[in-house]
Amino acid sequence: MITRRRLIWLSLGGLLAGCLPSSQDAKGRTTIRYMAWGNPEQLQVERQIADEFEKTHPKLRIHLFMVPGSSYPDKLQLMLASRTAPDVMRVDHYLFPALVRKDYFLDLEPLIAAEPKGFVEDFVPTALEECRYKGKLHAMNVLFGGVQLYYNKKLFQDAGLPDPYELSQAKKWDWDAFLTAANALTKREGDRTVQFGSTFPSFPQWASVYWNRGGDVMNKELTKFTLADDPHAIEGLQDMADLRWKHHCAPTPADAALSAFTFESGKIAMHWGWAGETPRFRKNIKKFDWDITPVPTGPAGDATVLKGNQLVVNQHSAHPELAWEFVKYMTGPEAELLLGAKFRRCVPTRLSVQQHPQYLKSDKPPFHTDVFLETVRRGRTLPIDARYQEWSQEFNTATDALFNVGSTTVAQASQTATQRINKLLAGEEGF
Amino acid sequence: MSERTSSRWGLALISPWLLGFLIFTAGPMLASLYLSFCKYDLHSLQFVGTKNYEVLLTRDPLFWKSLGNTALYVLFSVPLGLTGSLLIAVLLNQKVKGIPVFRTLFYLPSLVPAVASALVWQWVFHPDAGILNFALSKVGVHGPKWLQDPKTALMSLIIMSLWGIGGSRMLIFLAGLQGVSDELYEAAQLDGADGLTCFRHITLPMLSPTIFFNLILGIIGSFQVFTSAYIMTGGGPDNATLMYVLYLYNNAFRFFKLGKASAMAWILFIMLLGFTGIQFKNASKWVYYEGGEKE
Repeated sequence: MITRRRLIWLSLGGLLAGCLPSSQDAKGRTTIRYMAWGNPEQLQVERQIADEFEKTHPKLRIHLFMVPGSSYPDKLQLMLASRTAPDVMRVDHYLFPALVRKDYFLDLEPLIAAEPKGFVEDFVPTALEECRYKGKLHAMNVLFGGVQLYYNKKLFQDAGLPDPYELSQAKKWDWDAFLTAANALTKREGDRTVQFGSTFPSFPQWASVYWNRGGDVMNKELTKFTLADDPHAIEGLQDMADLRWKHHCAPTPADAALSAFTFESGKIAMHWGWAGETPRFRKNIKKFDWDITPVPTGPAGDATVLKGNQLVVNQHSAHPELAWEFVKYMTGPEAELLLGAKFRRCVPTRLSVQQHPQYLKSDKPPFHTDVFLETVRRGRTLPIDARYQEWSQEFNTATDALFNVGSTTVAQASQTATQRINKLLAGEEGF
Repeated sequence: MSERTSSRWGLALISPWLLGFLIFTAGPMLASLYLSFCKYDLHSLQFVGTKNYEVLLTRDPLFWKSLGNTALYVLFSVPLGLTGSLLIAVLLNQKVKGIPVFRTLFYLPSLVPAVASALVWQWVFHPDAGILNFALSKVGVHGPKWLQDPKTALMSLIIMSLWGIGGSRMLIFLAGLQGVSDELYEAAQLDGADGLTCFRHITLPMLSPTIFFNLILGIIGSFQVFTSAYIMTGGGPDNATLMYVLYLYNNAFRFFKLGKASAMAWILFIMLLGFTGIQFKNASKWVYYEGGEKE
């Protein structure tokens, strides 16, 4: 005899059971949940890879779900904290060091040890470097790539300027050459600028400017901010400030806020961009030829910024081995060829794919695939640690007046940034 | 129905709300009170006593900066907003043809989601192409850079807050105005009072409870300003628009300092409680309740 009370309990239990994801569906397939962010085109690509994976793994189903990029970090952290995170997640490297310390992600070394010999050796070392914590791999690198310059070929030709890619091939593409081009390609009509030579990248995309002058803002251990005592780093900041306020060849925040000045609009000759921006440009640019060239070199080097995302397995996943199968596939040759060659969404992390004729030969711009590979070869990883969010916020605030308002000197901004950040780093973490 | 049965029924009927309040408001509040005495990064929890409060009050320049920004914002946006809402309500209380249409028109802007209106206002404030500087240039004034200049960014957010003067505050004022009896005006007019005198000596005193209500809610709401700064400036330039709740959010979700963020929430709560208490103390001097006891 079922009493009314028991019925209530039963239905409550049923409700709860309905809320919990069951890992097997009617066809006996195990579901792996995978969370990522991106625009619709980008996600279609990932769905496609997931479909391919399901074809070769009939016992598995990939439940891909998307969270808008702007709220992704919040959602990710709350899910991890409340133990409701999916089996596989994509994490931007900006956040990875802060999260991996909390034991959220599975140590992949035991799983990698079971792979055939030479598995790890096929990956670009800098790509794996980002994924290590305490010397052990806790992720695989996806959407890897660096910063290079996208340039509007037509504007260069119309102005009769030498092609920046050829200059770079001839080892003549340094800051001065870049500045000369940026100045020549900035057009004014009366007191209005109608075309700019270059975009103004936000930090850390322009870190190469001070690296290549031989300077840096942080010490190697990431414990001290050294900008104010580093004349070369200060020169780098001066270069950036001058680009906007002395030469006026990059749009001010007010100009940029209009969105009229974007690389796609054809009103900006050079754009500092990640490899991942290629699909967007391919889709939107119909009216002019464009391509890529490395960022300018400096007297002390030819580095550029390199960064990827991390594909991690949830420490508490019920099926770590199956999740690993998917991670392995996402970073495997087939998926990398799709992502890298077909969609140009990233630079392959596998050396074997980097040399694949399908990747090297492109039938749509950018044709200089070698520049992507060059970027990876010259690339330096960013000084991102668990406190990066805090100090980069302070750095941006201190340089706001310099880059975005133009109301202070480089020396002053460097002093302010160094004082504030060192005070922050000296203070106890977490307060 | 006996006293007891009716109070039981009363409890039974508000129990859904009561449960919701206990589970979703009071519970989390108490949890955050406990968290404010801990170092918590969503992962490890460590009791640290009053350290979060000490750090905030003695060693965190941004705490004071954000509090100062917010205080300035409240100081200007609340009186301006109240006056604006009241004036519009008085206008919409006239007996004119087509008044429902006007009421709808004035209420419309407040229906636009905060995020959408913030995006629109970004355009309004654009230094070169914005409608605001265009209008100023027509009268020969060279407009400022608004959101991009630390000197004017906070002022821009205050101006933008006036976007909401036709909203719910105006409706409450309108309801209050409808409640003022015509007999009072008629009597005053017989004694030869003009419109302004009527407004000063009848409308304002009769509306004082409504003004008081809107003032309290306005101060509480303005102290919690977040969306406009989050969307339009991110707290910049140079922390000029770093609002208290935005800084709280950054501490919680960008720097993983949930203990510190909880402490900030409680400091804000206590401040608002204090403010409201002072308001209530002062209220007896200027708020007039019809049928209430005069002290």
